[in-house]
Amino acid sequence: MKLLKILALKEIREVFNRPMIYIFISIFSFISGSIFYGNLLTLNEVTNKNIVDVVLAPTFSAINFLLIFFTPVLTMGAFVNEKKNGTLNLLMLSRLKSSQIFLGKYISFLVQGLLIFSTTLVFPIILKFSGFNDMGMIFTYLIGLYLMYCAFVSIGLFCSLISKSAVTSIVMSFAILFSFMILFTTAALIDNVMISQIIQYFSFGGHIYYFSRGAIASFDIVYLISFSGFFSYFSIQLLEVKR
Amino acid sequence: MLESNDYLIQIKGLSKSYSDKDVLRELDISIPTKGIHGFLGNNGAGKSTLMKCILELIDFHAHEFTKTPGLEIGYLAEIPALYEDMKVRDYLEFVHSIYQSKGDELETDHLIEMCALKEVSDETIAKLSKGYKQRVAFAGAISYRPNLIILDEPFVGLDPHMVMKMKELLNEIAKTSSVFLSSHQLNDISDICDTVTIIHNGVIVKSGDIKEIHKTLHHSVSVEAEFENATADALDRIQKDLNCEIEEKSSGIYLFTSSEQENFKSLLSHSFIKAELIVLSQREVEVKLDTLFKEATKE
Repeated sequence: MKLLKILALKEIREVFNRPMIYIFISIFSFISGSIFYGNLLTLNEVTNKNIVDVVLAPTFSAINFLLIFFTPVLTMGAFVNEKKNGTLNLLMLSRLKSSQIFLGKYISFLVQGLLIFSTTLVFPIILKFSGFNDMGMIFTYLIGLYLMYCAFVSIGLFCSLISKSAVTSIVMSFAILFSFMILFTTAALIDNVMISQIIQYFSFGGHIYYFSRGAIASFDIVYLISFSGFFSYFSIQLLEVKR
Repeated sequence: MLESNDYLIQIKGLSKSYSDKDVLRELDISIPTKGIHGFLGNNGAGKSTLMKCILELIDFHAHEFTKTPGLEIGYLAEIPALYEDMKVRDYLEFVHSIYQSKGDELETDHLIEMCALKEVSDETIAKLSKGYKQRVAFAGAISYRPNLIILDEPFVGLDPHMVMKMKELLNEIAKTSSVFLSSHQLNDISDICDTVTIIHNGVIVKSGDIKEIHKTLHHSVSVEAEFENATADALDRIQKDLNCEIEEKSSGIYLFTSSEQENFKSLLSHSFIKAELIVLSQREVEVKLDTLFKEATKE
């Protein structure tokens, strides 16, 4: 536990010493802000329901889509750089367990995620001025986004672990993320309802629905957490094999 | 078993191949508990690969692999494994904290002192020169007092002063733990290693005590002499009398080599007097490890 803390702290310090995260946050807040503003302009009547339907829901689903492109870039270097600098060997030869090596990274990305999503808190503040008071809605959105981000990160880290260059890592994680997203529409074409439903369940697409309507559904949470868990487990086993 | 107490790691029949190329072929390696052991080899001889196998960083095939349980290994890679964004002190403390287990580790301050890193201890590693980086990585590798230290080309990029200092440190460390180092700077190795292994094309050509290797590889004695009045006639006579080889190194300086070691030197001196040669200087030329190495790796 103590070792995990040391490692995670080191990772976090490293991230915040580099310009990458700041550039990332600015780009993210600029794009998400523009989308929010654009949606706000189309609003003709200010009511709670209207704001949710016209402004918040489209904004957050756009951000969700944005994450598919952003997370692979964020996670690309995680293990690739370590391998390149030979520092992965340094960690592997130490007393650290494989799970600790992986979780140390994962935790640093969770912290980065908090920082990235904190920029979207400006939306409810702006909306508050026009009398919007459905804060629970915003809260569910953010939980949904954050869990989705966690799942994306687990895939990104997995790809970074199995690839030798950052570019391969990006391409692979993007391909996996996108396939999981697109699975939803593909599944709809299948005649057999049961198979179609099962495949839809495996897609990310099927699990944003409730979040974007302000409901925290247990099966969505179970899905996202087990998704992250599955890829994390895979990565940890991979690290273990490399030892 | 007695054997396992004498050696930290014993590998028999170690082989490693990358896709189609055999890098290591049926090597037998035993790592004793103390002393400095050197690996010599050309580029691509398989030194680094062998080290990685010992560290179990890569897959390999071996008939037998015994390792003392709880063995701690310090490793200095060819390209030093450093977190370039970290400060020197932070890095050393980090390495220290993820490796420490016995409680008799070196204090970071002491370590910085030992490796002469004081003036850069608060600098970011990325800003340091290659030599300093090498030193920082070395300091990291010895910080937790491992039983075995594996150094891949440790003297590359260091100034002579630091090389000397590092050798002193290694000698100190070798009293309690085992040091494995590779190099192609042959003279670097010859003065600190107790034993040497010469690898060529993935096969061990020679292994053992440096002096022993000298004897087995080279039976001849060479004497270099400088004359004031050397004549071809006189030299010819000496060559016939002593059955030795003569090579002119530069004007007036000749190298006499004979495969009969016994009293060749005194016989040679006598023949100089007999031939009425005026000797300005005369010395025995020691067979350098370089020559040894060239001889061993000759196809």
